[in-house]
Parts: sequence; C-alpha cells; structure tokens
Amino acid sequence: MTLWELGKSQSALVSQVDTALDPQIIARLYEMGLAPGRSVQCVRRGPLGGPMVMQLGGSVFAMEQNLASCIEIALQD
Amino acid sequence: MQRILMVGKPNCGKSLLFNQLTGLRQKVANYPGITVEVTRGRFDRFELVDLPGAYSLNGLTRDEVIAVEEIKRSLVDDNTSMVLVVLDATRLAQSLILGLQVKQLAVQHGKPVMFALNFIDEVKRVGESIDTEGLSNALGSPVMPLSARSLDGLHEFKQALLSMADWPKVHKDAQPPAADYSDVASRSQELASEFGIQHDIVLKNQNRIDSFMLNNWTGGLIFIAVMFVLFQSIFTLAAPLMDGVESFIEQAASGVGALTQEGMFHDFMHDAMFGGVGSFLVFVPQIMVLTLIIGLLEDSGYLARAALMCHRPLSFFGLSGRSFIPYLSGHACAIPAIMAARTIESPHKRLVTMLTIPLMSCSARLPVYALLVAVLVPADGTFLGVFNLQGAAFFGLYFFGIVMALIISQVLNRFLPRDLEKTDMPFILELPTYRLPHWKPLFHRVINSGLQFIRRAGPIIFVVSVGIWVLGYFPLNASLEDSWLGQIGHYIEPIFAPMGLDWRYGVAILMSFLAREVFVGALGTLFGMEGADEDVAGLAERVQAEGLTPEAGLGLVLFYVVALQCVATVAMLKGESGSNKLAWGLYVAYGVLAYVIAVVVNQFSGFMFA
Ligand SMILES: Nc1nc2c(ncn2[C@@H]2O[C@H](COP(=O)(O)OP(=O)(O)OP(=O)(O)O)[C@@H](O)[C@H]2O)c(=O)[nH]1
Ligand SMILES: [Mg+2]
Repeated sequence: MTLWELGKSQSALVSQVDTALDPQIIARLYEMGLAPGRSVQCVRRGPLGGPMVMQLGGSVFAMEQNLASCIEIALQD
Repeated sequence: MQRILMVGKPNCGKSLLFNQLTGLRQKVANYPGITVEVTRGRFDRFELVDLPGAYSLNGLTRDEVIAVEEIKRSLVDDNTSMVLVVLDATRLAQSLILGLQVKQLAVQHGKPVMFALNFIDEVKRVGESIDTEGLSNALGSPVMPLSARSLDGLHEFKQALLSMADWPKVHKDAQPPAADYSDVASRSQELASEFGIQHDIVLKNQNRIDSFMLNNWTGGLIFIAVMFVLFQSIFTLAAPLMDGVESFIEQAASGVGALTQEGMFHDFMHDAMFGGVGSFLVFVPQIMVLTLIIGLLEDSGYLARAALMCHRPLSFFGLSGRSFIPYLSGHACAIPAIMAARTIESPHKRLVTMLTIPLMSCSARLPVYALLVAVLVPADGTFLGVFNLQGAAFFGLYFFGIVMALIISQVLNRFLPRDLEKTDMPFILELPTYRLPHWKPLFHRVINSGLQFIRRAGPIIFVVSVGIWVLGYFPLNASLEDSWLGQIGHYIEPIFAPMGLDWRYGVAILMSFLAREVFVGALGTLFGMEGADEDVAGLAERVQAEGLTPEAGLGLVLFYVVALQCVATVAMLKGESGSNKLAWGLYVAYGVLAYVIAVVVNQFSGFMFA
C-alpha cells in the first residue's frame, strides 16, 4: 500500500521509498522523516485528488499524488 | 568587514531576527519561502547576511539553492567570522537537519557556530520549557533561547553573539571534533525527542483550525470569501480615504490659485501640478489598503493553505500551487512577485508563472481602474442588492486579469520548449502555524508602500506632466487642438480611432508605455489645460462630461489589464529568465494582445450597453 492510499487520521510506518526517484528527492524525503521505519499520519485528504496533508514528527506537510504514491507504507493500528 | 552568516529552515524567523539586529525592514511573513535572495545588513562591527530558508544542504528549489551556494561559499571565506543557525523551537526536528549539516561543515572549515533558539515565546505560551543547556552540550555549540517577536532573551543573545564573533579563534580551538552524523535525519529526530516539546501541544490549534480551512466544503467557501473580500475591500475600504485626499488637493489647488497671478505660472500650477501630479496622489490610499490586506493574509499563515488548495486546479493550467503566492503578490507589484517565483519547484512551471505575473493587476494600474470605473459605473449602484457596483466592477477587472493569466499559462505550457535537463521537483509544502499578524512590521510595510509609490512614480509623472504641459501650452495662445501636442496627437490619432478614443487618450496611452501609472497624470494634465473653469473638478467628471462611450471605456480599461507597460518588469523578467528576447517579446506580445482586445471590445460590445 502506498502513502497516497492512507485515509484521513490513519497512521502508518514507511516501509520503502521508490528507488527510481531522483536521488535528490529521496534524500529530501529521508530528511523530512519519510525514511523506512518512521511513522507518518495523514491529517487530511484534499478534494478532487489535490495534495494530501500529513504529519511527520512535529511538522505538517502537503504532498502531491505523484510523489506520495512512490512511498510504500504499512498500516499501523 | 567580518561577516556573520544567518542560516535556518524556511519560516524559522531569520528575517525578523535580522531586522531586529540590523534595524532594516526586510520582508517578514508567515509562509515558508519569503526571502529569496541574499540580503546584507550591518550589526555592530559586522556584516550580517540573511539567506533564503533551506531545509537542508541538498537544495531543491531555486531559493534553497541560492542559500546553499552562499553557505558553501562563505564557509571557505576568511572574512566569515561565524555562522548563526536559527532554529524554530516549536519545530526542532525539522530545524536541526540543516542545523546539524551546517554545524558539521562549519567545524570542518574552522568556523564557530551559534544556535539561536527562536520562538521561545510560543514555547512559553503553551507552558513548556526547553533545556537549552542540555541541547547546547549535545550540539557542542552555544544555544541562546530568544524570541525575535517578543524580544525575550534578545539582549543576552546579542552580547553572546558579539563576543563569539569578536573572538572566533578562542572558540575555534575549543570546538569539539566534528561528529559524523552520517544520518542527520535520525540524529535530529533523537535530539528533538529529547529536548523538543510535544508535537500534540504544538499542533493542536493548527490542526483544529485546519479542519475548517482545509475542509472540502467550508475550506472552498472560505477561500472564495477571502478572495472576494480582498478585492472588494481594495475599493470599498479605500474610497473614504481617497475622497479625503481628493478634497485636500482641491482645496490646496484653489488656495494656491487664489495666491498666484493670472498668467503662465498660474496655469502651470493649475494644470500640470494639481491636474497632473495631484490626480495620481489620490490613489496612494488604495495602494496602502491593498498592502495591508495582502500583509494580513501573508502573516496569518493562511497563504500556505491557499497554495495547497489551488495546487490541483493550477496544475491543470501548467502551474503549481506555489504559483499562488507570486500571483497574489503580483497584485501589489510584479517585480517582487517575479522573484518570489523562485520557490516554485519545477523550472518550467516557474517560467510560466513568471511570464504570466504581469497580467495580475498591480497597484500601478489602480489609478487607471479607479478612474475608468468611476467614469463608467454609477457610484450608488448595487450588485445583487448588497455589493457596491463599483466594487464589483473592480473585482471583475482583477478577475479578468487572472483568467487571462490562466489561459495564457495553458498556451505557454503547451508551446514553450521544456528544458529536459532540469528535472521537475515534486510539490511539497510545509503548513506553518496560524498566528495573529505582527502589527509593527505590517504598519511599516503599509506606510512604506505608499511612500515608495510616490517616490517611484512621482518623478516620472512629474516629468511627463510638465512635458505635456509645455507641448500643449505652446505656441502661445493657440488652442490645445492647435498646440504642438495637438499636432502630434492628431498625427497618431488613427491608431487609436479603432479603440474609439480621441487623440488625447492616444497621447496618454503612448506616454504610459514605459510606465502605466503615467496615464492618469497625463490625462489629468490634458483635461486640466482644456478646462476653462478654475477649480480642479474631479478628472472622472470631466471625462464623463466629454462623453467617453461605454464600449471605448471598457476596451480601454481592459487594454490596461493586459498591456505590459512597465520597463522595470521587463528588466526583472530578463534577469530571472536569462533571456532578453523572451522579456521584450512578452512586452510586445502583451501590447498587441491588449490592443486587439480593446478594438474588439469597442467594436462589438455595444449590445451590452444598449
Ligand atoms: N511568535 C513568534 N513569531 C515569530 C518569531 N520569529 C518570527 N516570527 C514570525 O514567524 C514568521 C516567519 O518569520 P520570517 O522572519 O519571515 O522567517 P524567515 O526564516 O525569514 O522565513 P523565509 O525567508 O521564508 O525562510 C513571521 O510571521 C514572523 O512574524 C518569534 O520569535 N515568535
Ligand atoms: Mg526570510
């Protein structure tokens, strides 16, 4: 399951980031806290396929579909 | 001069702290990515350098890359005496990523580092505290808690900063060996969970407000309401102020008129000074109101939400959600807006955004809009029974500019060649905390916007008014029609005839091709010279009395929405796109498009007014 499929208020653990992504982008994702083993929570789903809003550590980020669907996650209760 | 470099993640308060230390007034607002260029100021004996925010040394957007390049350059420079890393105490994990990376690099180059733990007022407000000593030991550099807004801890911080900058050598020797944070992200996470405050406390308010602001239904309604109030109030809030300035100028004109003898000087004061220059001063309040409202929006934290909600619809036109902020600030002035496009993640979207920013109705167009709306729309009319009709007409003009920008973006997106070497970066945007706007800087900004408009536009309007007056006054005792100006005007009249305008408008339009704000002043001088009556009646009434047809008036005002009459914007576009041809090509293209629209409207919109 990918991050993009995470529903509102659900939490998950990042399991893998698509290695086909630009290395610079992968580095940024890791720095933001989207690294394997880290937890992420979906705060909101945008309407009409707009960016989703997620909480990572103490910050809130919006991210668009192209990228969010490159991140594999495992649901947490 | 020795240099102190300020670095930090976007929106951590660098520029506000920079302003407090240097006394300068750099733009500060609650949106990540406000500062987009390197800014220098003076703090005591040092040169203080404020950089754009960056999340890490691996910069993605243009503004981040500018910051990272400057950091790397400065660290090898002997003139850099130290690095000041600004941290957001409420977002420690994200702040420490760049902090740790910079610290590591600085130690390698023997530069001391100090951490400014900003936003301490907000930490206190939620009843928390941070163990700065522990954090300082863990980081191996001094950590000074402070608030750039409430000024808590600022005094101690300044002293500590100066003593470190003065004797960097001492600290250099005392530096612990560079720790190797091969995994900066997990290290900053560790530090944040040891020293930072609970996420839930920090984000409670923000998430609660966002459940309305980003809700599928209320969020959309709030967005539309905010935009409508923004554009409507430029007109309605400013109207009483403008009336005030106008009556002041009228009184000054009749006062001076009574003092001076009949003759050339008298005519000059009356026509060129009060008629020309005066008629543009009337619009200063409107520009200040616009700055106030945009400033309120920017400092509240709402902009990031607006950008997020617009991302999907704007993507459809080949733009990004991040294009929203340059577009919005383009309504004040295109020049900073074009620079603000540096935060856009994709080079192609950034270019399309820059090329369409000039279609946003900047404040220099306000005088033209206000004049023509006053001429064409009855003052007491209402729209749907509640909204002032003139206000609604204003909104319509702004809206027309935005729609044109979207259409042209779509076209550019199709036809503009893409630079395949540059990869598109994804849309990632941090949503900052909501905050009450900070009044003091906002107040300065509002006052400044008025003064700057006068300073920038004043001299050129003065020169044009005097020039027109001289050309129109001679040969002596000839009527305006037969003056030198009249002769020139009649020569160019055929160009403007299809727009339904006579030679006087033609002269004013021609004059405004390098700076659009000249139009009203030029027209004011022309009508002022013609008017036989001695009091300077409002220019709008004169234009009305002369009978401008509604079709021609509508065409004229739409002409001003589209035409790119601003040399400074062309220069900026050239600088940011690196292409002279593109910038001047755009100037010509928008000019031609504006003319075509005006002619078509003049010829075919008659049915609307029948
Ligand atoms: N409460 C509080 N607000 C602050 C403090 N410092 C800055 N702010 C606010 O935080 C927001 C961001 O401040 P800026 O100075 O623009 O931040 P910046 O780091 O220069 O941001 P960029 O230029 O975008 O990287 C503004 O709304 C400031 O008023 C502080 O210590 N306390
Ligand atoms: Mg800044």
